[in-house]
This record gives sequence, structure tokens and C-alpha cells, in this order.
Amino acid sequence: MNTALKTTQLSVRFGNKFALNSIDLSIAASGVTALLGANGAGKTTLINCALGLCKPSSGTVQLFSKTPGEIEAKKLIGVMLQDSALPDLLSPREHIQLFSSYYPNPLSLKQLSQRCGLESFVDKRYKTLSGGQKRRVQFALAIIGQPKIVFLDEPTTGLDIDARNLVWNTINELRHTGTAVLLTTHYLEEADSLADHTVVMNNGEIIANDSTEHIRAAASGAVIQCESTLDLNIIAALDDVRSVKMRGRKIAISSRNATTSLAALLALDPKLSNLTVSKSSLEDAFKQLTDNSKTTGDSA
Amino acid sequence: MNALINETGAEILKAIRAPEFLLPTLLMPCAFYSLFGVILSTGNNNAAYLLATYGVFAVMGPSIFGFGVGVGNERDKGWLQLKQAVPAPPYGYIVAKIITTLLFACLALMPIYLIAGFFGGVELPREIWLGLFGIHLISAIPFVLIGLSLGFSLNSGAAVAISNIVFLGLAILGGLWFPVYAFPSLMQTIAKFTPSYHLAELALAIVGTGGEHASSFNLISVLIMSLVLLGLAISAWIRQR
Amino acid sequence: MLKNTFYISALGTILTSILVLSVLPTPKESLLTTSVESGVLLIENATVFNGEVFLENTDLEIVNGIISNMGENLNSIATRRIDASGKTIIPGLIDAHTHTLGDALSSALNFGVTTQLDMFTTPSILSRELSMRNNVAQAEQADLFSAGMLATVDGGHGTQFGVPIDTLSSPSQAEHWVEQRIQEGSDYIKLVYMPYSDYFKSLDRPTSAAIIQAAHKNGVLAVAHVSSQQAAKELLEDGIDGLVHIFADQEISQEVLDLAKSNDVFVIPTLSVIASADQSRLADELSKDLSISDYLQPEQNQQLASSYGEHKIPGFELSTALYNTKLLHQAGITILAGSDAPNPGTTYGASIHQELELLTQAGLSIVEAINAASSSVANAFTLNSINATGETASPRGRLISGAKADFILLNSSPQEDIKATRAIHSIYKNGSKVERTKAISVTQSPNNLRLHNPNLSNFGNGLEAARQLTWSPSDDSIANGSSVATIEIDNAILKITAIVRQGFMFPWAGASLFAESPVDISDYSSLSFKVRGTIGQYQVLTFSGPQSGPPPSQSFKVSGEWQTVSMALSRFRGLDKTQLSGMAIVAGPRQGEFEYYLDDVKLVK
Repeated sequence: MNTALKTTQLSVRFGNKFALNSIDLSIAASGVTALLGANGAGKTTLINCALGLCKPSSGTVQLFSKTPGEIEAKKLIGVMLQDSALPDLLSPREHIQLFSSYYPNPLSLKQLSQRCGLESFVDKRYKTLSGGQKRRVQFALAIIGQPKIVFLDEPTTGLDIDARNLVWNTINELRHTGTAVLLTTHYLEEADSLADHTVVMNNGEIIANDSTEHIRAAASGAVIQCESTLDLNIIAALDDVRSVKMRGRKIAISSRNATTSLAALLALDPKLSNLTVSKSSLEDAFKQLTDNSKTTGDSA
Repeated sequence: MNALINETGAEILKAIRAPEFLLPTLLMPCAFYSLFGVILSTGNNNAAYLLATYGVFAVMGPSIFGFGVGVGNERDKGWLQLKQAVPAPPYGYIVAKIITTLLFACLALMPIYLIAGFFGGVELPREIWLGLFGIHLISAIPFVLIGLSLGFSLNSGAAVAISNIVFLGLAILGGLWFPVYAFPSLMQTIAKFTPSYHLAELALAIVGTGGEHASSFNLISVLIMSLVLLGLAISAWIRQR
Repeated sequence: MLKNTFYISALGTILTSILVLSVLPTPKESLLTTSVESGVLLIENATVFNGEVFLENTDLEIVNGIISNMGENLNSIATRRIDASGKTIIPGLIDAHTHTLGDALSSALNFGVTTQLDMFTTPSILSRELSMRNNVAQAEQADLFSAGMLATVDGGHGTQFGVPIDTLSSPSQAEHWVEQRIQEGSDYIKLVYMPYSDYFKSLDRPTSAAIIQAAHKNGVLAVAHVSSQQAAKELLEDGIDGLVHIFADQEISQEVLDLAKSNDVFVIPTLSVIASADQSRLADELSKDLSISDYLQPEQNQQLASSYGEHKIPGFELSTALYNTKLLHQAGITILAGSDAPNPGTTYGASIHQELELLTQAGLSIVEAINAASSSVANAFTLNSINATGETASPRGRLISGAKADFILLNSSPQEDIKATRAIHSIYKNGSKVERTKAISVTQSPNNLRLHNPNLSNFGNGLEAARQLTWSPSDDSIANGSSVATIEIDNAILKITAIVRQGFMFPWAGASLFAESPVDISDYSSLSFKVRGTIGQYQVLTFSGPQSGPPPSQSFKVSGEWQTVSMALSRFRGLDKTQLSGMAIVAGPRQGEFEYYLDDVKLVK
């Protein structure tokens, strides 16, 4: 089965609020997919549905064509949850022993130790480990069953550089071994460097679902603000200009290449005033994408 | 099955490595019994009487703390959630905890029995010792259910505090430390609503220092209370999902 | 390794538990059985009188008060063995005519009389001693069979003792009168028929005949007191089963002999009392015989010393009596040995030995004389049928397998000299050796009365367990507590209602037994009783000597079913067995309402 996760009009309601609003999504069982979004966008709810921890209010979700929560489905996946602490009194070795009994084909302690760098603390009690060491153990537990897809919820949040690099390396290794990865993150760079495919969520909806390259392109560049009498359509027609908007009295221009766009603008209107140039932020990118989806009706 | 054995081994390790669990579980009951049942014993049959009641007390510890505090803690930290996401056998956790509780109950009971037999002068026919042991082990059931209800409902800090209160409360009110007939009548009435009281009465009936009621009354009371507690535990579990 | 942890922990815990449960102490076996003491007794190598001959080298095996086996070189599992070489064993003697007063039965046993037939006593004594007769484990007193109240008229013989008698005067009263006696527990009917006496009024013949008929109708024997031949003849014609005296006013006629023979009656000559009425003073000889006098209690000495005034009573010639007895015996009529104790010149137990001597003087052989005081009585009075509780009684008066183990070991054989019956080595009642009480000399004054009678309850007859030991309710109200106890007798069982309430520190309520003066129970090793009632834990408290602090106690549990509780006296820590002043069987200290029943409270050796 090539599709690891497939949702059809999946909705989850808590009271009046829709945590997920009619999501249609298909995640392949290969490569790294990043689920990108701000806090509250619905990433965690979506993951929980995939794991069987949350029941859909309507719509369906299928994990390798099975119902999430079924033991057989669970055996095909690995999980690392954002706020999951492991029992303090056991050592990483013991945690690994326990988890390896859950899976039919677990990796050995040696393999895990090497991959996740656990050697130096494998027999220490969990509560004595640093934050980074704990994450490594959790990661080890996520991959112990040699799953087809691994769900990582904010895997590097709060980690130091070394740990983060280690996790990234491991994720790359996973990709090479053919294990799919679905990771949620709010770090653009993380999605950028790791993921083949990015799904952007906002307010319980998917607002972008594309190869990372395309998303990158949509989110990179600069935002130029100025006051000008230029016609907005003329500006929009310029090369490298992605979008143009009025923000009050100012014109906000999103451009892929700040230098060339500036040159063109000044050429068109020497009387340009109140000029500011700033790098696109994630918020901008999202806004961009949101606006794009609204104006063009394109949420591909 | 393999998973269950590992699960149980993990639970046992967690219990052994927690002194705040081991002390009330293993030491307290036999220390108190030595004091009240043997050293300070006033009557002829006190050692036998208190053996019956302290046995129930000894079983309460691992049951309430193991489940109340243990489950509460692990639920709080998200551990239970993680286990639900991975292919751990569905009831493996609970079963493992029950087995662990029973093992610790045995370990808590044995010193008390030995002290009773060799220092308290308690002599009972072999089958009575075995019957008493059986009743003491069965006593775990309602207390496990109480622990589960607490563990599923409370966060870890509250779970510790409330478990302690419930533990001591049931022990004292149920007449496990001082015989119920020494209580004022209001407290005697209250006692009848505690499972600890009825279980102690059943144990006393077996030891032969007879209770105040026919044993069937005690059995039915324990059964009813256990069913109620089971309902409580299940609803607490559903609520926390 | 997690797996290892599991296996080691699980196995370790299970093994430890099994180990601990196996070594925990259990109660010692000996406390659970009360009859370890009885066990099996083997008396070896004695000369045993079996009713016909004296068998040499014979063993007697006794189990639970019964002779289980008798023969040469018995194969027995007995751990208690007694070598009786050189001793002769005869059955425990049966005195066929006595009157029961005071310590009659224990005094009788002191001389080897293990069964006594009483010819006049009160119904209360009758019923009290009946339960002792049914106690097949006691070795304190002789078994009593009795006529109860005798049948006589107002002013007739029997009324002169000041004991209230239900007299009768007409035949129509006979049936009801007999039924009354049987209800009271009389084993047979005795009537007094002396119409030719100058001194006493008497039943008339029709009434007498009616009584005999009524007795027969109710399935019991009718025996009669006579003092004249004419009266005897009339009684024989009317169907009397036995005469309890031989008349000595005339020499017996052939007619009467034929009547007696054809009616198959028995006669109890009571030569001892006739000898006393005859002023032969044979009792003096008894008093001088050390084998007898060493065991006479003070009142017995008095009885032997007393006499019927100074002069011979006419109509009571010893020589006539001997002659009549001889002829009766020669005619084949059953002669039985009876003393008529405690009439002046006679006493319980001792006099029967003299009666045996007198019977041999009347022509009975030694074997016949011994039988006259054992098997013949049992046969004549059918003592071996059904006892009062409806069970088939073990034969008495005979030494045979299956018989009651009541017998006497004599130091020498009576085959040569009937007086050898007095040289008693030891007496056995119900298979247990009797502790003979020696004559009290002036110097010896026992501290406290040794409790001979181990029965502490006799609820069939009320709250008095024995002389000076009475049951009463007991509760902590005497210590300002609030508990309450009441007791009553319900169908020969003690029923106790006890309400234990808070108040006194160690509340109690129940029943207690107190002795008017302290008793010595050192002979006994445990207390036993039967109990059932409200489920719960109860206590036995004991009081002895100067009491200070909580009384020594042991607890026991009660259930709805009857159970026998047995407690070792040694476990009442602090109990002084030489001066027990009382004990209590109570509910408490758990509060509640208890109703329980007690029976068969006794001490066990």
C-alpha cells in the first residue's frame, strides 16, 4: 500500500469549535512529510486521529487501509509524542526491552544505541537524563519496531544543536531505509531541510499541500512596503513579484527577489516614499498562502 | 504473552525502585502489627484477631498506592497516551499492575504471618492459615478498583495526597488498627460502609475469633461494594480518554 | 532484563509464600482430643471370675469403659498395661437392696459396689443420680437403679422417715400411681405389704394386687417388702416378681416354696439387717476388719455402730432367715445379695461383703454368692436392657467381652474364703481406676475439697451442678458496666441471653459457676463443654485464690451448630488449681446481643 495515511472529509469537533474541518489528505508511505502550522492549527489533532487516540466526529481516516487504533495498524507505525514522558525509574535499556516486546521485528538494543547515540547513558535511570538524552530515547522507541511510517510530533523542539542534528540525521537515514516520516513542526527551516513534501495547516484546514520546493518558493523572498501612486496591477505584473496588496495607505509587495523588484519599482516611480524592506516571515508566508488560496481559489 | 511478562517485569522494577512505595507497603503493616498485635497485646487472643485485620491492611497498601499513585502519575505524564498509540497489548498494563500488586501483597503478608506465628503465639490449623491467606489476597480487589478510580481521575500530585487519605481512612474506619467494638456507635455504623471492615470480618471469621455477623452478610457487602467500585473505575477510565 | 525480573520476583514470592505457610505453627494435636487419657488399658495375667469359673492367666482389655476383649495372652495395642499376676478379678458388686441418702453411691463404690439397687428414695435424688448412671465415663460413684417412691398407705411402713410419700389406699389409684412413678424415673415398683403387722398399717390385698398389675402393664417389675410368710404367700399368688426381704417369722412352708418356684421369683434375704434386728451385732466384726475399716467414712462408722435398740425384734430371727434362705436356694429359687443399707447396723458397700459371707452360711457356694451380688441381680432385674436414654446398655455384673468395665481386683482369691472379697487391691468403674477414699483420721484435714465429681453441669435437674456448685448469670454490671445476662434451663440445657454493651473496659455477660468454698481441681487437666448459639467469640474466665487483675481466660468461637470445646487448664495462665472458686463462660468483649446454649460442662483428667 503506498498510501500511509488517508483521510476523507475528516472533521473533529470539540464543542462548537472545529479542530479539524473536513480534511482530505493523502500521505505517501515514502519520504518525509512535514506538517507545518502554528499552534492550534490542528496538527496534533490530525496526528491523534491517525494514531487512534482521537475519534473523528465525522469523515474517515485510514492508516495503511486499516482503522487507526487497531493493533495491526499500530504495529506498522512508530510514535514520538510531544509531551510524553517515560517512567522515571526505568533505564533506556529497560524501556527498549519493553517496547521491543510489542513489535514482531524489533531492532536490537545495539542497533538502536548506535543509531540514536544512547551508549553513554543506556543504563541510567530515565529521570537522570538531560532533555536531549530523553528525546533520543523516545526517538529510539519510535523506530524500534522498524515501522513503515514514523509519526514525530515536534521532535526537535527544545533540543540543543547537537541533538537536533542527530535527529535530523536519523530522519534522513529513515528516508534512506525507506521508512516514511510524518513530522509536525513550526520550524520552517526544519521542514525546509528535511521534508520532501509539506502540508500547511491553519485553523483546522489544509492551506497548502505541495512539494517542499514549491512551498519554499512561496514563502521565501521579501516584503516591500511603500507609498506609491503606481497602479497595483502594473506592480503585480513585474517579474519576481508574487503578490501586491494595499495595507492602509501603503502598498505591500511580496517579492521573490528584493533587489530586482526594488530596482524595477524605483524605475517606475521615482517618487516612491516610506520604503521598508523586510524578510518574509512564516506569518507572511502563511498569509500569502491564505490569500492565495482565497483569491485564486486554489488550495492545491 | 511475552509482552505481558515484560510489562509485569517493568512494573515490578518500578515498584522496587520506589522507596515511597516500598515503605508503606512492606514495612508499615508488619511494624505496626508487631507493636499492637504482639508487644502491646492486652488479651489472650489479640495476636490472632489483629493478624486477621492487619493482613487486610497490608494488602491495601500496594493496591491503593500502586494503582492510585502509579496510574495517576503515568497518566499525568502522558505515558499512558504513548502506550495507547503503540501496539502494547490492550489490558497488559492493568494485568501487569495487578500481578505486581499481588506479589507485593504476599511480601507484605508474610512477615506479619511469621510474627504472629512465632512471636504472637498464634497457632492455627494448616488449612486455616491457607484460607486466611486466600481471603487476604482477595481483599486486594476492591482496593485495586479504588486505586484505579483515583488514578484515572486525579493528577499526580492530588493522586498521592488523596491516596494517602483514603488508605489511612479505610484502615482506621474499617477497624483494622483498633477493633471496631472499641468505637463509639456512630463510628461503628460508618465502619460498615467500608470494604476494609467487611474484609476484616471475613478474615476474622476464618481465624475463628468470630465476627459480629454471619459471614454471608460480609461477603455480599464486599461484592456490592466491589461492583460499585468497578463502575466508578470504568467511568473514570472513559472520562480520561 | 525485564523478563528475568518477572520470573525471579514471581518465583521468589511464590516460593517464599509456600515456605512461610508451611512452617507456621499449628495447634498441638493433644488439645483436640479429650479422650487421649482413656485410650486402651490392658490388665494382664489375672484370675478372672466369669460367672461360672475362675479363669487363670486371663487378660482383660478395656476401651472406653467397656471390656473389649477377654482371654489368654491377648494381642493388644494398649499402651497402658497393668500386671495383675496373683490377683483375682470379680465383677463390680451389685447391692440389691439399699436406700440412697447422702454419699451413698460414692461410699458404695469405695468398697467395690459398682451398682446399687435402691428400694426407696426421693424422685429428685433419683433423677440426679440417673444422669450419673448414664455417664459411661465416670468413676466417682456407683450406678443407681431405683424404685423411687414406695407404695404404702398413710401410716404404713415407709412413712415414718419423714419423707413425703404419695400414699394410696384403693385399687383404683394404682394405675395412676404407677404411671407417676415411672414418669419420675422409677426402674421398678416397690410396695410394702404388711397386713399382718402389729406396728404398721398396710396396703390391703386388692390394692397391692392392683399395683402389681399396673406395674406389669407398664412393663416394669413389682417387688415387695414383706415381714411375714402369709403376706409373702399372698403376694406370690398375686404375681409379685420378687421379695426384697426374707420373712423370718416362720420356717418356710412347702407351699410357699412351690409357689415361689413356679412363679420364678427372686428373693433378697437382706440377712445383714436381720442380723442387726436380731442383735447379732455382726456389724462389729466389719468395723474391726482393717480391710473395711480403713475406708469407712465417719457416718459409715456411725451406721455400723447403730442398732435397733437393745432388744431383738420379734419376727426377725437370723437363724430362721438363714434356714428359709437355705430352703429357697435348695429349691432353685434365685437368691440375690442386698444389705438394706443404711439401716442400723448396715452401711453402703461394706455390708454387702458381709452379706456374701452370710449367704454362704445359708448354703450358697462361693460362686453362687458372688453371682448373687453380680450377674444374678442384673438378670433378675433385667438391668442390661435399654437404659434411660434409649440406648442398649452394656451388660453389667459380668466379666465378658462387651460388658461394662466395672470390676474389682482382689489381692487373693475368694475361691478359698469368701471374705477375700474385702481385700481389695483396686476398683475399676467404667474402665477407670477408682480413687478410694481412706478413712479420715483426726490429723488429716484436707485444705480444700478435692473435686471428685468432674461434672460441672447437671442442667437436666437445675442450676446446681453438684453440692455447693451452682450456676448463675454473670455480667459486668457488678463493675459498673452496662451489660446484662440472664440464664434459664431450656430442655435440660442451659440457655444464656447476654447483651454486651459499652461501659466497663472489658465488657462481659454470660453464666458463671461459683463454689461456696474453693475446690481443688488439681486432678484435672482440661475443661470441656458443649456450646452452640450466636456466632461470635466468647471467653472462659477462671477465678482462683486471691484474684487480682484480669482473670485467666481463654476464648473460643461459637457457631449455630453444637460443638465441643476443650481447653487445657494449663493455658489459663495464673489459675491456681488447688483453690478454684469459680469460672464463667461469657460473651464479650465485642458488643452485641448473644444467645447461646451450654451443656455437659465438665473437667477431664
